[in-house]
Amino acid sequence: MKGEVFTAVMIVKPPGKIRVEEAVLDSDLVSTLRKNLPHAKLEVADRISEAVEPDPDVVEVVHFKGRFLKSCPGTRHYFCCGYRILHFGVQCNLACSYCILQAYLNLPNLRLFGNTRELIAELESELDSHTERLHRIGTGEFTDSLLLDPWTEWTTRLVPLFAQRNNAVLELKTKTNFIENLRNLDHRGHTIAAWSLNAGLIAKREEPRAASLDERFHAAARCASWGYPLAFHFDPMIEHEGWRKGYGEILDRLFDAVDPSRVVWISLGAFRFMPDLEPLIRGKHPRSRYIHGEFIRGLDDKMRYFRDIRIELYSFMLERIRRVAPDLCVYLCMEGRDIWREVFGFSPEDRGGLPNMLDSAVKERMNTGNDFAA
Amino acid sequence: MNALFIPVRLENLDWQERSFEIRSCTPDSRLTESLDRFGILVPPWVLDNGAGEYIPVDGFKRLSHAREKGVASVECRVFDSTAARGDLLLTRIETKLFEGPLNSAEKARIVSLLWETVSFEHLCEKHLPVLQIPARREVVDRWLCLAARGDAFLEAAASGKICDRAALLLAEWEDATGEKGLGILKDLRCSASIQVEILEGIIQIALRDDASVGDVLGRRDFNAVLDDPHLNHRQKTQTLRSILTRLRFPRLRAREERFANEVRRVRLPGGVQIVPPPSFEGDHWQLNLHFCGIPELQSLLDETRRIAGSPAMAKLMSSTQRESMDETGTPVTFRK
Repeated sequence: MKGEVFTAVMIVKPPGKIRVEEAVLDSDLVSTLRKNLPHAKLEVADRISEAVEPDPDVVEVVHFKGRFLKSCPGTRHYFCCGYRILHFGVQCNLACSYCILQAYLNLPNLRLFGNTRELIAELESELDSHTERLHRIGTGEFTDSLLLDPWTEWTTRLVPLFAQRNNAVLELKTKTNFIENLRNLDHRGHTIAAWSLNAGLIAKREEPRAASLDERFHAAARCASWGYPLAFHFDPMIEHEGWRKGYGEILDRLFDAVDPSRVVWISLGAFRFMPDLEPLIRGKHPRSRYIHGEFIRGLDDKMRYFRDIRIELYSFMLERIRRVAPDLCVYLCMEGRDIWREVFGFSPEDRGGLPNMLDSAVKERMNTGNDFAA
Repeated sequence: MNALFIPVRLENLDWQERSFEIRSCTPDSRLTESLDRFGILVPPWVLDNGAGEYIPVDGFKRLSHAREKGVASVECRVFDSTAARGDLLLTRIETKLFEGPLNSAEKARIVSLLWETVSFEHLCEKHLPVLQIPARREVVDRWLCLAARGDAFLEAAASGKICDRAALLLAEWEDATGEKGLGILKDLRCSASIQVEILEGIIQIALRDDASVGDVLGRRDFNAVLDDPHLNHRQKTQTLRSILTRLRFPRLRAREERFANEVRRVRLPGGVQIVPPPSFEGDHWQLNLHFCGIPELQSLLDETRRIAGSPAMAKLMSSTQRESMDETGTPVTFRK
């Protein structure tokens, strides 16, 4: 591979404690965790309080009473991908400095939802009741999709389920290389293995406990060899000294590692954050200077880079991607019409909307969802 | 705690012991006038130290005034030597909290005294809400910094020359830098919100550039403004804010200036104003028309329609000539 090789090793140790709510003690998830974590201490409680002390050694398993399928939290001001979230847990201990999850102060610990039968039932009901629609569903919004997979084996249930559906694809977004459970699954090309990527310097400084970029590329290449379609998300893109070189190198290394024809899409999203996150980042990560960049208040009240900076970041990436993969679906996460037009020369509305663009990518690159009209 | 109201000879006071003092750091003229006219109306508090001396607890100004006037003894509320100092301090603070609004210097001193006397949890639960201070460790730390600062800081904060937030921000700066920052704000005599805007701008620029606050304050353009004898304090404030904004948001500011230039070039008729989206975010632009009567409106509409179709208008709304930074962080302009 070209470019600088970062040798950081992913540091995630198995949880030492499983704290379980009584109502889900007999669940399949708890059984699997106990099988894979035989030395972990089991604690059972009627109810696990939300406002508990942070404990990086614990994984909590609770009975979740809300909806498991959620819409991507887009806003009306910016175009949303229309992806739906399968909400199976909250929190992450990869400790990325920019992560919104550190603002979830009332839920400091890794938390999984133990009532998985209800989750599966809700998912199947949704897929079966709207067979005319292509469902793009992912699990990486409130936690990392694969962070706990070595111990939950959650993918061994989800991937085969999606394999049986011609109207649905699953996207597993991760910064780990925990892919072993994917190896022998009958996925039928309906699961996208996706990685969040960043410039080398940012990955090294701001994602200290995630897999190194080399590990991510290696994992992606292995998944491709097992037949999985791939996706990559450059989000959050962070402007920093030498960013062109940094992001350019990562794109070079990405396309050295994987065949672009295996990639369903690449998303780009410049760093944005709720204003409340700024003091948290300043306090917890005082060396992270990117938080003092040229941010303005966006239409959704999040802080965003001034538009011209975003356009520069995106235009650079698009041009570099197009050199290698002119037909690859590239999209912007949560951007408006004016930014799209300046970067791409068109707006998603001109092509039936962003969800439609992504549906088309699924049909073309994954050969899924072609049985019905979108 | 046992206490008696008895006359205390001022020569028996331990004037050096000021650990109970909560200074207001404000002029004493009103109190002096009252003492001259009516004498001491409310007896000061003192603590018998068990060695024949008395430690002032409350009423430092009253006692000092009496001494200056040559008074030999003053009736005081005397706590006997068995009184626990911590309990006495809390009682003294409690009465202070009921006296009326406290200024920043008094609040800082009270936080500092409580910090040494009660637990952080107790401070958060019982006292900070009364002081209207957020119950967070980093906030308490700032008040402690302020309490530890010299008289110049406390007097500026107590008198309202600098606002609470500005005082708390400045208190965390190193000694010389803090003094310089304080001097600047006192010279500028700007509003509380502008004080905070200026200080936060300086801090953010320093953090972004991995420099010290002193480095930012030492900038030549900064000091040229501050030392300019031809500018009054309002002009200095405005110029300083402009420099800070340019430093903090160089590309946004460049875009604003380019927009202003393009507007001049378009030569909009009087009464017509084009307003870009705030920070140029989004595509919601505004056109404001100001007119008197239908003929003027029609004339403005005709002229505006002509301008709307012109290349100059497209250029005005375009960001294709973007302000960018090169790899060294220097703004450069390039054409797409």
